[in-house]
Amino acid sequence: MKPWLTRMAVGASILAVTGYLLTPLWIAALLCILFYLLLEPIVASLQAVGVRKDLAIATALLPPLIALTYFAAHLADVGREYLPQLGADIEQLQLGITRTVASFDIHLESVLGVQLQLANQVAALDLRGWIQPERLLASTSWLANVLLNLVLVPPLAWFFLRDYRSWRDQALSTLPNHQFELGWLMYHRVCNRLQAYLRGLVLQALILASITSVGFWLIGMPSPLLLGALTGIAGLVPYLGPLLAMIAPVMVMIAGPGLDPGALMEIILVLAVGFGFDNAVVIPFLLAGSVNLHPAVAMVAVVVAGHVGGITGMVLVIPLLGMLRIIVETTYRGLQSP
Amino acid sequence: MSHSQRHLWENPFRRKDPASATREAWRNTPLLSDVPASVCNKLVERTHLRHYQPGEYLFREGEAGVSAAVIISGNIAIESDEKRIAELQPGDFFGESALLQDAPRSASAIALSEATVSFLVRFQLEEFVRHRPGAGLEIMTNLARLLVARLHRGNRGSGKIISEATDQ
Repeated sequence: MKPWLTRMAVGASILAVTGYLLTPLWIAALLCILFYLLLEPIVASLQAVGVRKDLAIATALLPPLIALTYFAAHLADVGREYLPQLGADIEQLQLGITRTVASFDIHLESVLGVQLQLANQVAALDLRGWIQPERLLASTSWLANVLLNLVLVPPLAWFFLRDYRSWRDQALSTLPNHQFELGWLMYHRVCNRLQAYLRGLVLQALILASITSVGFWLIGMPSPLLLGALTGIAGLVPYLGPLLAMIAPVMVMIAGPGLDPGALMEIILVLAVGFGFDNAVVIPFLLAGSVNLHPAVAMVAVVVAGHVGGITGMVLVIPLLGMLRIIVETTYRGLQSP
Repeated sequence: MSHSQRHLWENPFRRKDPASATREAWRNTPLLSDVPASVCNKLVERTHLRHYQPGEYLFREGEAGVSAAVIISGNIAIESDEKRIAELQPGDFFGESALLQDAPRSASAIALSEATVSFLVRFQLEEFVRHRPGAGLEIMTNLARLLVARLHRGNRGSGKIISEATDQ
């Protein structure tokens, strides 16, 4: 086996093992990377005007941390108030879905003369047993894990912003002489494209969440901010985002007043405006060409990643594939040179 | 003064700072001339010291170049099309065009003896300039002067060749 291949295999194994060991901390790691990508330019511009590095980091880090703490506290409050009545709401939701499907059954029978009796099948579903809010409430391990992750974010983000460059330099110094420059080039290309893509994604989510929050507030939906935030997150999933974004507002509508065609049209209109702006303005300016994957490859990858890793997998698969493509292309070009 | 020699008045118990030779070598390059010592030291902290065996390539012609280098010890040969163009000594600075552009190396560099070379990577220089625009401007001006001087030298060389060809 060639030495560079051995080194690559060892490196990949170390990365895989580290990734596996850090699985419980993925929320903290993800937030730290996002903080680094978003705040590093602010820290650099503060340093450029003569602010000390530690002070620049503190200045850049404090506002988002305060916002994160406020959001976490708000979410905990909402959860504490809402979880006890979740069971009743799920029953209400199932009732709403059954009613909607029953009216669809009647409509189908009157038009086509077919009796599918879908409503009976929906009624037979045990949604409450499936979600089990009591068990969710009693189980504290997931809550402890989320809290641990959130507590770890400030110190990790601080160290990330302060020491990332020296960690990177040390890591790249371990490369053998003949791969030293190639390693730097590869790192730079991968980082440039990934930074542009991830920054674009965050801005895209914020813009989509803002537009749809206002829209949901205008049409009188309950918790418009939360629904807008969920739409922003769903919008991160390429191609399937608009469909996923429909789920939360439609479920809220069914659990509340029931399925109303007028209200459904309003929800679709809000999402159409949000995603229309996203596709016409945000994506061409912020994300176009940053990863350069064929749409067919991207769609298949998103579906497979969704099956394997859920929403997180769907959001992360495109940047990961883009990174893999850049690494393979650069390595191939580097290995081809004399 | 070589590393092995030590003057009588130097404190024999004081440990020699291994980074001082690198700092001195970089400070004497045209890239960092007239740049304050404190700024030089900050930049030199970001350089990478690498060791080469005789016959080992530092880089090859046609490879992507991303760094400039200063020889700390040993000798380096610069070769193009298998012809030796130059032999470089400790303190010599080379590969500076890679600090500006993403172009392939125009020549190969090979160690003639055991050599220690300090590399400054373009991306780290860019980060440095972004964080310290004032000092960065001086460094980039020095780099531009250096490249213009080399361009003039190249033009004079090619002019000489053309006039020789016309005379013949």
